[in-house]
Amino acid sequence: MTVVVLSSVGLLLLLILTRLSKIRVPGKRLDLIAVAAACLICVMLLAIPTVYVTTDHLLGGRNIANLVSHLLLYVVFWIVGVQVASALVLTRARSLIVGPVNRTATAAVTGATIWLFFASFLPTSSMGILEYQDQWTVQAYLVLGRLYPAIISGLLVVPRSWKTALSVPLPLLRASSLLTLWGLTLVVPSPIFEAMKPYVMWAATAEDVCAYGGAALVAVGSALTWLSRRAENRPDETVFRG
Amino acid sequence: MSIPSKDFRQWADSLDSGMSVSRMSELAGLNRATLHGQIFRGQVAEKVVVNMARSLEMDPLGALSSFEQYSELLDETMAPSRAELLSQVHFKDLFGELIRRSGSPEAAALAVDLPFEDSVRSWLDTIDPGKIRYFLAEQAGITEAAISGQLALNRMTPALAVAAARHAGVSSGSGLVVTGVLTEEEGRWPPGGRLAALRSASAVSLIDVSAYWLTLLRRRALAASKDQDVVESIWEHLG
Repeated sequence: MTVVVLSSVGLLLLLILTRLSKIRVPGKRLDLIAVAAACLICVMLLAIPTVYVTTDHLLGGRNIANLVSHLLLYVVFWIVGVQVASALVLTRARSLIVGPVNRTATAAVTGATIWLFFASFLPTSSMGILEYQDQWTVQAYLVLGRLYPAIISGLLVVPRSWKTALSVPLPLLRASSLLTLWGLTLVVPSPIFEAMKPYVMWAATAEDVCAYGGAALVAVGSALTWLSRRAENRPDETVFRG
Repeated sequence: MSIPSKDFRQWADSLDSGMSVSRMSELAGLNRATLHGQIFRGQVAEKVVVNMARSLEMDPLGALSSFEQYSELLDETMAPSRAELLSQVHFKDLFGELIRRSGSPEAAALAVDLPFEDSVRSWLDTIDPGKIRYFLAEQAGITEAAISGQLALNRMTPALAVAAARHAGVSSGSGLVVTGVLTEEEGRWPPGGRLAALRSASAVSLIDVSAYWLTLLRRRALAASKDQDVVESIWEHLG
């Protein structure tokens, strides 16, 4: 687990480094990909127990770090949703995500997440607040945390995206698009496993694979996309072959 | 629809009684296991017969016509039509001819040999008396989309090509030439026929055929530009 997390963090750091030149240009609009990568780094680092405990102590030792991690993940998926929908020209998904429907949904989910968090009794730092799973508010809070990313991913992994990704003429870019879609697909069932966690043993493992495996695949996909752009091997322009 | 193994073995026996599969595959220029597999599955490709006939210096068209489903092949093979010949000229040569007739120097030979991308499609569209794809789909028991799929790969099974020629009332041998089973000569196409057809084509038919190719080229260019748009979009939003 830690290996997957650390290597994804490394990749995401690289991704941010490659975009530094862009960020520094004054007056340019916010580089959403870099913001998403930075947020995802924080989320993934907080999945490492020692990092989590240390950070949480700094924040008062009442598991605020977990809430931060949840909210950062919403930011990541909002951005991923907008960017992937734009990239693969999913007009309907994009308008859903940037439109009033998702704005309302995001506000509601964020509000509910914060309310559920403070309604729970979480006196001491506990990685993933696993110790408090007997409270229904904690249960709901954890499932909600996975539900938002899963719904956004579900909007993105429609058949049309796969068709578009498969039609990409550059092999490297095709691979990166497919990896990203596979990563998002993994995220879709994560709330179900999260809900099963207290009752079934293997659900915890399945949930980890979905959430962190999915994030890692998306990170690798973005890195490959960047690589293919640098490689600039534009598609064959000889339409008049023969 | 290929040649039934039973008929194939009978034919091989008639050439040399008791001919071994090793000898057959040697004559056909095929791996022994490949040919054995075809015989075992009950269907032998036309190309095997053609290759064996070539090795034995027999007429491939005659060899094919000794099989039941191709029994009328020899009778149905005649000289190709001018339109057919012209349909098998690459657009480079077509456009070259247009330019030549506008006063540029003459090229001595055709630049592109058969087959080339979309050459099968070009032939089929040229001989099409109307709805030929529908007819072929019915004939072969497959969908029209499957026919289009074959054409996109510049392919068509020999049996289907012969059926198309028969339906359109052109030489059956032409079907085997354009699908690459027979050489132009073996399919009774006159030597230099394509070049002659190009040179003697009327200005109108030359322009018509060029326009046909421009339409195909436009379709290819459109598909390529759509793919390129997706690439740019992914780079812009995720790169």
